Amino acid sequence: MSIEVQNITKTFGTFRALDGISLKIETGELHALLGPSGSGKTTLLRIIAGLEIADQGQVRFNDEIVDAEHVSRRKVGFVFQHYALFRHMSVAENVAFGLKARPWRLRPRRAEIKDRVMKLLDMVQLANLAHRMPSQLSGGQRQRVALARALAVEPKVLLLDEPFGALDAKVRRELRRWVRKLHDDVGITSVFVTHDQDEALELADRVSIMNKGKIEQLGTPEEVYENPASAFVLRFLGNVNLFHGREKTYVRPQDVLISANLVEGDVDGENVPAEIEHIGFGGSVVNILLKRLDHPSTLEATLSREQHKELGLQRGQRVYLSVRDQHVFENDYDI
Amino acid sequence: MSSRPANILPGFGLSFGYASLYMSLLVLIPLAGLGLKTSNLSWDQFRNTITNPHVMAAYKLSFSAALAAALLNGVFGTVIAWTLVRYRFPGRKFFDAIIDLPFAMPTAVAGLTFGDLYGYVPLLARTADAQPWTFEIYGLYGLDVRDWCRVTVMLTFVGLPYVIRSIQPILQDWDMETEQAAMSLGAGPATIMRRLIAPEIWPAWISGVALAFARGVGEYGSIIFIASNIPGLSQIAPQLILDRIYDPIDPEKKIAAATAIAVVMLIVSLIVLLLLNGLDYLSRRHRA
Amino acid sequence: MSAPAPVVIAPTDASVLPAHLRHPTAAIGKWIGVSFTVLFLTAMIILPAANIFRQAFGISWESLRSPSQLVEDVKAGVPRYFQVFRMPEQDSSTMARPERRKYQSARAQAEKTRSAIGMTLGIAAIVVPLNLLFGLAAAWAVTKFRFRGRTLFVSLIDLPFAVSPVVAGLIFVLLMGRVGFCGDWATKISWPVPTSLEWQGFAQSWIPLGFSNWQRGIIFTPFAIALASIFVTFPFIARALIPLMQNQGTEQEQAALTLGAGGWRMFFKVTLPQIKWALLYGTILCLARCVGEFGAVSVVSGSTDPNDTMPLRIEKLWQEYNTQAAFSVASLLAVVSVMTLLLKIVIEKRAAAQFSDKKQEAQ
Repeated sequence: MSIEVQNITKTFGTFRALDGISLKIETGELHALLGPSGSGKTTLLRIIAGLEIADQGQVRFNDEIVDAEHVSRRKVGFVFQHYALFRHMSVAENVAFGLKARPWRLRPRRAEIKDRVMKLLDMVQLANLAHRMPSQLSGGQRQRVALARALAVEPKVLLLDEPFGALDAKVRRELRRWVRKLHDDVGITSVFVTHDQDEALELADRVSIMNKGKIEQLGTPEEVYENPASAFVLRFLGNVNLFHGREKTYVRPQDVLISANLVEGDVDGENVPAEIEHIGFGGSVVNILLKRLDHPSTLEATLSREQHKELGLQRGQRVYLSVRDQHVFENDYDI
Repeated sequence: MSSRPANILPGFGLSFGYASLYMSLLVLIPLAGLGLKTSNLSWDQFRNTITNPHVMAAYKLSFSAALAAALLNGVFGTVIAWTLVRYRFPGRKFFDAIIDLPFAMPTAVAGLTFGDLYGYVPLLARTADAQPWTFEIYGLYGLDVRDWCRVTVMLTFVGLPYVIRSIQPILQDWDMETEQAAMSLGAGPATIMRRLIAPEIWPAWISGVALAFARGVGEYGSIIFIASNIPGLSQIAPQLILDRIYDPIDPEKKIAAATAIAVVMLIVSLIVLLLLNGLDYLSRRHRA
Repeated sequence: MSAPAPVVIAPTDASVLPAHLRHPTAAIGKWIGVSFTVLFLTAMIILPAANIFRQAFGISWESLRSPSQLVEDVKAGVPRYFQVFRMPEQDSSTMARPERRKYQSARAQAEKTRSAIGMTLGIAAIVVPLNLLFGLAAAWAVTKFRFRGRTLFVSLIDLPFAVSPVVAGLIFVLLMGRVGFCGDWATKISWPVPTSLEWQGFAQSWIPLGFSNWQRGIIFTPFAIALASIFVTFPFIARALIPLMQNQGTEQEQAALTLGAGGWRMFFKVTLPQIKWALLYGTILCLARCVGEFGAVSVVSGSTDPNDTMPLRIEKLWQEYNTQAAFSVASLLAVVSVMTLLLKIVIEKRAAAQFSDKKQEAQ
């Protein structure tokens, strides 16, 4: 089922959370809404779910306008940021809630509900914890219960609000892969909200990068990373250096090349002299802080460990920098 | 009152409608009646009513005893709250639990048992045949000393939980690391108390004292069991209102008088609570 | 992934300073504080409460010194305690005249006391459910929605705390008394009256209110008592619910809606189970205040015997120098208030358990 939002506007008091957003999410896609806090991404997700009502604009599921449908009839699966598990119900009761809430004509029989709950719990690998209470589960387990609960009602679309936000780094990575696999197995159109660019780029089929209630860029992870549409997108997707020159030029730290000597034949000042201020070992890579000698600013460069070893750089050493890849934007503005 | 629910949960109209209707019918409209009745009185009538010597004596007794009881609770309550939070001793949980008893116990029952239990204490004794022992000081001139003490003790019981329960959570949540930091900077207990803890608890302390005061001014059920209720000497304001309502001679005039007496009490309570809200607002803004 | 053991947060007593950090004078402070607290609370709360039961069972001060006296007192006191509520059937025709008069008056007194208990229960049966509905509705509107005038609405709920009970009673006299605003209408209306004088306790009728005779007017009737009781007690349930529901937010309700639940289902299956303890506490507190209300009720009851509630009955017995009977009735109300306290402790434990859940979830 495809989701289409058209020209959505939403204000809270004087704050404009969404400013004329239009977006189409294809059937079976796993879509990420990426942006800093306050960019309106959660509001957009909640409007799609029917948990908020837009001031203007329309939401369509498969070309059908669903604005008039109340959230309880919209058939969306929604996973809340803090999971919102029913504290007073066991895991199995939580998952069964949606099935039991159906009008009696559509409600499966008791045995059938039990069956389906167990199947879902198998799928999220929690069958052995069916009778635990949510307070007895770890964060990752709660997350999976929330997913199973949302999927139990066989929703048309699955919406996840910061699904990994409340988890620690290791569990987060594990769960990310697991969610991707689950999505591929179930094949349901899914949208998730995140402020973590790694998460969005790794997981999603396509990413919408949002800022101040607008979509800055929409594309596959590769597209947005390789060809950022604006300085905001570039900055948001990772660490970036600002080269002050004739115009503002942005360079990612891994695109800064360091050489110990001035490259022969350099005439137009491509090589920038700099001094090494600090060398930081960040696990698999080495981050080097450089002080430009021709301009009062500092730059960051990232080298692999091997490169670093080869160059044998030392603190205080004078080096020359060149740039492998750079981005210049028209209509540049500061964020 | 216009309304605009901010989320999609159902039931706003039903719940808000029912609650407002209930409150208007049973509380607001009757209360508005009180204001209307008072406005029927001319200013002179109103002034004559409340400057009647018996009425003035009743106000003096009610307000002064309520204030004294509230301040006593302010001191004792602080000590008790501090002890319950800071020290561990056998029976602490029990003593902590029974503090709420004055909230739960009917005031008539409290008055009955207090009168019975402490009727023998010299200062509180109810000596019908003895000469009235009256105050000779300006503000309370002419009030019975023993009755004043009895009323004050009773109101101390009635307002006991307020101060304790308002400052206890703050002492409980008090960050011990702050105190340890102060110690490491060389502060002694007196400095810590004065510079760190007192500024933290005083808004709650004031609000506890004010609530105890407001409660004490209106208290009736327990007092009639322990005070002698002699007009002009030992009668509290609510008792006076009741006397006026049940006075068979010229009921219309008497009820108007009762209304005037009640309005003054109501205004004082409302001012106290209004100041309290203002204080609460200020302290919250100060914190933010 | 294997299931990790449930996380247990050790109760750390953060409000007590570690021993090695305490100031040398702290021991004196502790000694003073603890002895003051124990003495003060014993004098102000424990002794008065114990005294109610001492007097109710007619135990004299002397019996505290001699056990034999205590046994004697209890033997005489316990039957007398029950006679306050029901005088056993005796053949009064064989009695001498003064004895017969004494017996008959005791019977009449017991009858009145029973009637007062019936009246109190009947009033509570009307007031508490109405306030329960109000409390739920007000708490729902105030905590789950933001609307203009919300702060005003919340302060209005607190209004009865600023009004003396006697003034509350006066308000209804002004409204519906003979010289009141609705006086013309309110004093002429006729309506079926609860026949609490005939009610003989739950053993004979499950409903404390029968409707057999008619009453004229509103003020100085049970109807007015119910109105005054509502005025005085309506904030309690809302007050107990609002902080809790504020804390719980609206996410779980929203989750129930996304799963297709309707409004009532959401309320009964998700909201209600989570507030049930606070609701119970608020209800019991409301009940305790309703059955114990004195000032407002004494204004609107008209001091007639059939309109007496338990606290009014206590006062009348006390005025008649029937101390033991007054304390016997008071002991029933004291039991209600002690039960309220016990319930509060249970609920606070539950709330603490829920709070630690929340802490875990935040991690």
